[in-house]
Amino acid sequence: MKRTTLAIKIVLSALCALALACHGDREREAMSREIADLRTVAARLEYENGNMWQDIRVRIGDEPYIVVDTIGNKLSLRKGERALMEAIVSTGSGKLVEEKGGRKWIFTTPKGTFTVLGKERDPVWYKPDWAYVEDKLPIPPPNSQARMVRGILGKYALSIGGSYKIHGTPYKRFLGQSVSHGCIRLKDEDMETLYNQVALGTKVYIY
Amino acid sequence: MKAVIAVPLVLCLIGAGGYAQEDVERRNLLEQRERLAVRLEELRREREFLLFQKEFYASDSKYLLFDFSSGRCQLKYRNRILKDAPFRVSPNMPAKARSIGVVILTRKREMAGKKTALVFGESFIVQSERKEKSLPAERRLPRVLLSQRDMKSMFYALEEGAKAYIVQ
Repeated sequence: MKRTTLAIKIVLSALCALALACHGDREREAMSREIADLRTVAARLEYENGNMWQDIRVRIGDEPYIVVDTIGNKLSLRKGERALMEAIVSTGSGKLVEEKGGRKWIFTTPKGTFTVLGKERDPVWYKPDWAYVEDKLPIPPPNSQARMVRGILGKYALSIGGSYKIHGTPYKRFLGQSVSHGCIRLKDEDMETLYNQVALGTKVYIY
Repeated sequence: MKAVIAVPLVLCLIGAGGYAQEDVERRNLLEQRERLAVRLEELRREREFLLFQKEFYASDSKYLLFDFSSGRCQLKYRNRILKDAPFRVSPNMPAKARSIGVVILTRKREMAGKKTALVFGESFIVQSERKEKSLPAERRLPRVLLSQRDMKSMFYALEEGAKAYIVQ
């Protein structure tokens, strides 16, 4: 009788072991399926993220761009995440000049996105009307030779449209201050570096 | 009778050996699943950040990126860096405020003496390192502290409603 009971117990525990083993198999199978699914999702995300990175890289491009901080009076030439050069500048003073006849000029540096439209060596400044009004001098005719001033814009200049330029300056002591008539002034050495590194069409972000 | 006992005994022994192996397999599978879950979370975050960047291809708004692990923030416009500046955080900056994702500039505050602050909802406030008095309502907010010069540039470059992204 005892032997029979023992035999029944052993058979039952063996069956339990088999049942547990089967259950373990099912659990492992389920987990394997889950892992396979996770792998598929991860692979899809990796692929899609890779495409998006690529798209971003293409859109940003690898061309250098100029950034001007009018509050901090700083200019930087950047390429992707790197700053290729940084310089202290002078930007617009924000001052107002009024002519007796009613014309007004506010000397601010424009903000927004611009493009380098021209590159000049030994640029000549075509003195505009406001410069005469500011100095309280009589305004010469539009094409007068008296308006042509050499040296005041340094050795190099980049035109960014609307008569605004990034240029050198003899007024180095004012760099870092907002004193210009709207142009962006750099010391000649920085201007030379900038001039040599940018091509026509380079984007200029002024904020 | 002996055979009746012997067969299940052998089965039990085989089963016991199998269990040990199964246990190792099961642990491996669990580890794999955990690793994959972590990787998926990373990929989802990366995707969220990419979608954020994508949003600014054509947008005319400037935005900020905060990297709390490196202590640097970037002012960006159309995915181009306009300014890259270091910052430090006040001791009351909780881990919650650093959770990865988007925060909105809810208020630009300018007080007498050129004291400025950028308030990002209930998350944190960006101020200059110079000791400044805070409004009572903002006193409990954690602070991101920038140099006076960087703060000034960022303040005037951003508009209320601008977005910032916490990278890490």
